[in-house]
Amino acid sequence: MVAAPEEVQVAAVTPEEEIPAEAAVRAVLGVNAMIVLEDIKKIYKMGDSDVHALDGVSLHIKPHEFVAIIGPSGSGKSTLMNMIGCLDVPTSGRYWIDGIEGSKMKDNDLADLRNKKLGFIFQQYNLLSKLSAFENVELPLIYKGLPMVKRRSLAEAALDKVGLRDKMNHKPTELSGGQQQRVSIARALAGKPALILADEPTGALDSKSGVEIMQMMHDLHEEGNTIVLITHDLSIAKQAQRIITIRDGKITGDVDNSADQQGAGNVKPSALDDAETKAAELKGPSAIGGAAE
Amino acid sequence: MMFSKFKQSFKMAMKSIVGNKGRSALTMLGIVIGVASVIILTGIGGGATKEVTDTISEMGTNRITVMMTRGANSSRSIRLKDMQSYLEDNPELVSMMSPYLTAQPTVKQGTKNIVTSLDACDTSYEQIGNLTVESGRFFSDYEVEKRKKVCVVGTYIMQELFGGVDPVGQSLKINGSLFEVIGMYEESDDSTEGSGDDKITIPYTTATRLFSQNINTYYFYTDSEDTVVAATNDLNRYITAKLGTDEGFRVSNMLSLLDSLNEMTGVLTAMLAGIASISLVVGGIGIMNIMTVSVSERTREIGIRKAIGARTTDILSQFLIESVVLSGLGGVIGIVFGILVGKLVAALGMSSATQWNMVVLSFVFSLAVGVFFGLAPAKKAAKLNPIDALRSE
Repeated sequence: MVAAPEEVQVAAVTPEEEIPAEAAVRAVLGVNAMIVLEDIKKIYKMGDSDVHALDGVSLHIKPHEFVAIIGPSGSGKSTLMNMIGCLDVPTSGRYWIDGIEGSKMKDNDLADLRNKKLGFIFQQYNLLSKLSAFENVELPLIYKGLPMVKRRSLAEAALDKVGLRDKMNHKPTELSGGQQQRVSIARALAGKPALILADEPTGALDSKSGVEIMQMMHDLHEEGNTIVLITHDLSIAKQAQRIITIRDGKITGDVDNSADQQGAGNVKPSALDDAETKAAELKGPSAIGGAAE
Repeated sequence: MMFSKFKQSFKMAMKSIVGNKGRSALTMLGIVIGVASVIILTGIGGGATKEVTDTISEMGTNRITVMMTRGANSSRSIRLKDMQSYLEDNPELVSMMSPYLTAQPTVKQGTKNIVTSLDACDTSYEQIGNLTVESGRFFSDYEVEKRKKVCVVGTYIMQELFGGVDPVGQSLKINGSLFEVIGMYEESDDSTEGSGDDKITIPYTTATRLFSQNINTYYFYTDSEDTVVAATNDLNRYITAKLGTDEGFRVSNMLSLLDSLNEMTGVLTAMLAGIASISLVVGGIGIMNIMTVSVSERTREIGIRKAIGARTTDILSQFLIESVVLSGLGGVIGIVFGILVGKLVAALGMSSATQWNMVVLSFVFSLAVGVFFGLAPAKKAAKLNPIDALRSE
């Protein structure tokens, strides 16, 4: 369980890209952490008042974990996702992704960090409509600076994995929603990221495609990938090993769900009282990624 | 690595341009018109220049003119004797010399009479003046020496006074004196009044007596163009020494005339190009508009690209390449269009010579317009915050 994903990671990060301080950071933190958030605060100015989108969030996520983050809109969930996704820097506090500190990085370094360590899956797929499925999957590899032959083999392997190799020359508009989401998963996987960040991946899909996509997430987890899934849907959250609840910019619940972990689309009552009661209040679309509408 | 990113940017630019054909065409129109007008206008300017220089070259760039500007009868004129001895003393600089005098006498034959332009010169002028006698002959040294009343006429004289019949052997009256026609020039223009065929040539010795005028002009001829400038300068010195002053005369040659003419038409061409390039700048502003719109429309695309790892420079170069491809394509279309119109103008009888340096220059300029006007929108795109960009519809 530990060896296999480690290999995946080594393949993705070539020696010269390895940041020397990584080992030291791991040592200091004392944990083998994929994500470390340390007292993260994010304060937005809204007129005269300050809005505390994140109010001192600390979090450790270990490699190979399958974590769901659940919370209503306005809970700070999307800000947290932006932090984990290295799309934003905190007002105060620090965060590390796979041992690399992102909290003090400039735009271009954050872009590199996202490119090398993260694979995004969005609710609205976010594929480029003018590019074919293959070109969409290839895009992050281009930004990574890989040579064409390497890009081709990685992109084809990723499309193979999601079962869309035969449709790789199709434009997104020629594919169904479920297929588009699979292309976006292939794009997230192609660069062999350390962490897969899925933001309401089933939010825009019919239930059958949703089940398929969640099955795929499970498969990816089985293969040793670290997955952070953001959702407002408790039935989806319950399929994860660990459920983190966020509310008003604070983590209000962090439950090990591995014993009760449910299969895709197979929701049954569980011991997650805290999460469940909160989820009952969670109506309406998620604000994460802003694409819910 | 850089190349594949560049290729990708180029590919995306082409997709975006082809995907919005109508809009791209309208955007490029400004550049197309700008480049085409630069090429057409400089082509016409170049054609006119070439026509003038060809005419001058035909007249002979080996010729040096010494002209007395105080009037032929001034006591401070150079003497014929001095000019002749200069010719004899400087064979390495000049090979021929002819005194020259011009007048507008009345020429009469029978009852018909016309006013024509008369050249009076030495026998060497046949070569210096690039004259070709078609019928009969030019006058001889003997006839010059003896002040013979002989003349060579142009075809207009034949048409007007001799009814189109070869006049050699006939006679005519110049200002009342009887002259024998000994030769006729070949037609140089179209035998009309005031053309190059409306002329008559007589020995200078005869003319000075006939018109009671001194020689005021001397033509020198050099065997090679290379000595023209040296000979001009030397003649200047020589005459200055002889007269004791550097005023009252002028030594000039066709080469320096050509030079100053080229300079003048060069300025004219540059002005035309300058005016035309204003439309290039206007075209550039059009590109800036469209690129700004394009960036706003594609905010989400930019967000996606940034989320999956595009750096600021990747986005910047993508949009910059798009605007450069747009303006470069406009430039190429403008060049083709400009050359075709130039050919059309030439076919219609106007002179037009495509200035290839202007073709290159206007293409480079259109690329520069793309970079310059694409920079602001591309920077705007590159600076977009990925979170905001992803959130946009």
